[in-house]
Amino acid sequence: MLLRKLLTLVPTVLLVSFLTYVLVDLLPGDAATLLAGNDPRQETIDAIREELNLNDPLPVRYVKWLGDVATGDFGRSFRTNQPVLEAIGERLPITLQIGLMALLFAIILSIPLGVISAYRANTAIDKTITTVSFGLLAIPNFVMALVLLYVFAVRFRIFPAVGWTRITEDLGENIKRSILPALSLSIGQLAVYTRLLRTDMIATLQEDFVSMAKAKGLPTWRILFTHALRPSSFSLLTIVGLQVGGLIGGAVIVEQFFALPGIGRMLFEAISQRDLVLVQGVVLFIGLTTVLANFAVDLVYSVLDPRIRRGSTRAA
Amino acid sequence: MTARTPSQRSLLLRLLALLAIVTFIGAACGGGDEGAEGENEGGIVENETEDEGEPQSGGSVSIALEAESAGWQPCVDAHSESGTMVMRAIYDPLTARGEDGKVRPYLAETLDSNDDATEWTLKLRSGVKFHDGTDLTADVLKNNFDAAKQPSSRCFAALQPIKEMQVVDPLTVKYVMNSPYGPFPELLMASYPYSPSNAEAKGKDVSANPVGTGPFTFVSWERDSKLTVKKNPNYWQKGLPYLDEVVFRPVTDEDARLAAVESGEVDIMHTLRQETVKNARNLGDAVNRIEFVGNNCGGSIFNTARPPVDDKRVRKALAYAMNQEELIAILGGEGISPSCTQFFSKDSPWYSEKIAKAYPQNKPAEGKKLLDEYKNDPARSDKKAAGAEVVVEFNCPPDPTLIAVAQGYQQQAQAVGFKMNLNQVEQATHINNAVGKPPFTDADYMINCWRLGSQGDPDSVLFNQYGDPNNNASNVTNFSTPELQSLLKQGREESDPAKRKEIYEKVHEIFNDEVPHVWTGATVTSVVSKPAVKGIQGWTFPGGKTKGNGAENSGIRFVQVWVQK
Repeated sequence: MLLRKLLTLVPTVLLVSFLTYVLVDLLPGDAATLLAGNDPRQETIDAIREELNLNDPLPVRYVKWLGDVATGDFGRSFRTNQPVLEAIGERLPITLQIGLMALLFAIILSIPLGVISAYRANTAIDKTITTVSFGLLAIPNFVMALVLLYVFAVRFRIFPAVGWTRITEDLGENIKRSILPALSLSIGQLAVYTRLLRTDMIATLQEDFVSMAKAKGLPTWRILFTHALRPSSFSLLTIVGLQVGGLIGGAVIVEQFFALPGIGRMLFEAISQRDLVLVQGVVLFIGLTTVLANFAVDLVYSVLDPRIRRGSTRAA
Repeated sequence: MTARTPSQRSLLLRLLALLAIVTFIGAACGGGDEGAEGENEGGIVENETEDEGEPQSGGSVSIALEAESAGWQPCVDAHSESGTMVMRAIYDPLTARGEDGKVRPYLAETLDSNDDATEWTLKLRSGVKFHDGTDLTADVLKNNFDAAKQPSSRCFAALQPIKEMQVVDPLTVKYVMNSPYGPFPELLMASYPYSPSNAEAKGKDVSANPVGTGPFTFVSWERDSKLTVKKNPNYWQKGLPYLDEVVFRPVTDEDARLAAVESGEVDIMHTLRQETVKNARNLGDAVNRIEFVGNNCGGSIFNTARPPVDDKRVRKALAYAMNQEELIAILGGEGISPSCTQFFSKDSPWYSEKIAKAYPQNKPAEGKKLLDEYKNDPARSDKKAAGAEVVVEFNCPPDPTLIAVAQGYQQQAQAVGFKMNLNQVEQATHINNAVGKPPFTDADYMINCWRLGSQGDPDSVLFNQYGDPNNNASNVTNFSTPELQSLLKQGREESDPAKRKEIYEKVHEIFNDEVPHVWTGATVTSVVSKPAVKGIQGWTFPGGKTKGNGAENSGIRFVQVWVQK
């Protein structure tokens, strides 16, 4: 069953990749002209077009690219001549690290906040959390990034402003440099998750089994986190899977601000420069990541909900 | 006020929460004093003391650049303005410009021409080695030249004036021109000899593994993160460089880059944006600043092949409509950016006061008169009825400052009677629209935001940009007259500077009359550095006697930069 699910991912990724190819190709602007330098001559533009096979029709180019990818050859960037796989390999881990950290911050912080909000629904504390959530949700992440940058890096000099140190070079530096970007990305997510969890929890806390647990005399925290949390987390989980795309979009912006050599920044440049080969490679990986993330969410469902695992329908 | 009821309590708490958020943001947006300093007339404005003391050896310096480059192989990779600094660290240019504006040999030992400038002979120094140990010889230059002359090379266009290069002896080459070409030494300013054996060994990966003769050797490059170079122990200029290491870090966001130098994280930063130049002024004495105003100006180009701007009266009306000072103020450049009237700044030896006075601008009444003349012309080029509105389209990339300028210009044009539509066009498309398609005699725009002018010889900037539009992708205005072509040819072939100045003045007389472009204020750039970093301005030619042109275009040559311990 799982294998079947995995196989359905393949056409999805292929479709995304083909649509992207068509879209970038349709964009006005010619890669060869941009590569030919200032004051280009016709001969230079023509020679570059030949070199990059840009004169072939689009379906031919796409199929050729697909064939190359199947053998592991993702081509070389038009702009930098760097092998696309190498470029992605250098940059993807950074974006993944920031994205995962952002996700973890958001989830770890939203669970207690959401639970407390639900448990103490409509009280002062709930209203505070709600207001702060909406406030944070309304702030775009580039504003958040700038604010964090100025407060923590310039005013108080706690964290460095820009740049990146690889995790293999220096773990301490790496963590220091990843906190602000991850925080900028996580704030918006935090708000969404808190609200979702709160809504689901409120509904769950009204269920019979919760009343029974209370009647049995179980401690409150146990009821909340062991019994009520699990059934309440399904919407949250679904959204987390869907938010992966949002994280990548946010990464493009945040990476610019903090000068991180991640995949978002590279994709943005590649599109601006009509670096088709690089865009295709990156989109393929992003497509795969998103699709796999949602697949992972499906898997976690079965872990969280024994009823799905056993394949039986939910009791009325 | 004490909150009594639960609802009052919760309201209070909610308000407090909101206040907390607002304060948090407010804390970060600390006010800075608006400091307008004196007017910039051109050249370099600095608050650095002239005498910096004796250079000290050792130390490492980091600089935040405004953009990453595609790679470091000459004639193959695009490098940004900031990338030139990296190139000059790893490679040496054959020639360079001095403080007096004159171009002299740098890596080359001598460069002389025959009487009519149809042949230029270059002699190399002996004993210069590349970082990989191979020698710099005439054969190397020939190898580099042959690669650069390929149609697919980025240098192809620039090398058009050269017919061929001959190797005369192991250290001497001769360049033969197609016709007399006075400004040739200038062409070699962007000529960076590279090691042929390295290029062959690395193939396509040479862009990330550069080997030159420069003061620093390439160590490592993490794209979009940092590039590290270290001192070349066998550098041909003995005693140089002073620094042990330079680290280049591309930071594209302007505010983040300034923050990086403010927080001390990098030692130097540079910017090509007026807004950041202004913000840097607020940093006061904590940093050293050098501001540079050169020949590059913002402006707009007209597609002279497209109605209604194909008619001289319409273009001139648009020029008379423009109040440049007002647009500069909108850009935030008041007191920073001087206005432009020609391809040369007031500082330049090619500047003409006569042309400046005659440049058509800021005469709305004149503009209205010309516009009405066109409007009521029954044979008007846009084929509309006499008296119908004249509609023009103005395209700019979606940069906030450019949008502001566009809106300002729109107001000014509409005051004179135009209907001006504003369009935002993404950068890459913008360029492609201006360039057009073969045979390049038309293009896909009417009026475009653009940048014009550079520090080079007038020939280098004008010859291609206003050359014959037929099959010439770089003549983006598609403007040409036989007289203009003849003048440009004369300018290239004449060697007497006084006569050349007259020729380029005549070229500008044509520009003032036909108006293929207008100007919207000079580009101001700036280098901001920690006070401990010295030598940014003071590089000299080999031998130490002749001063170079400092940090032109806010580009630094690291060969003679040093840090005070």
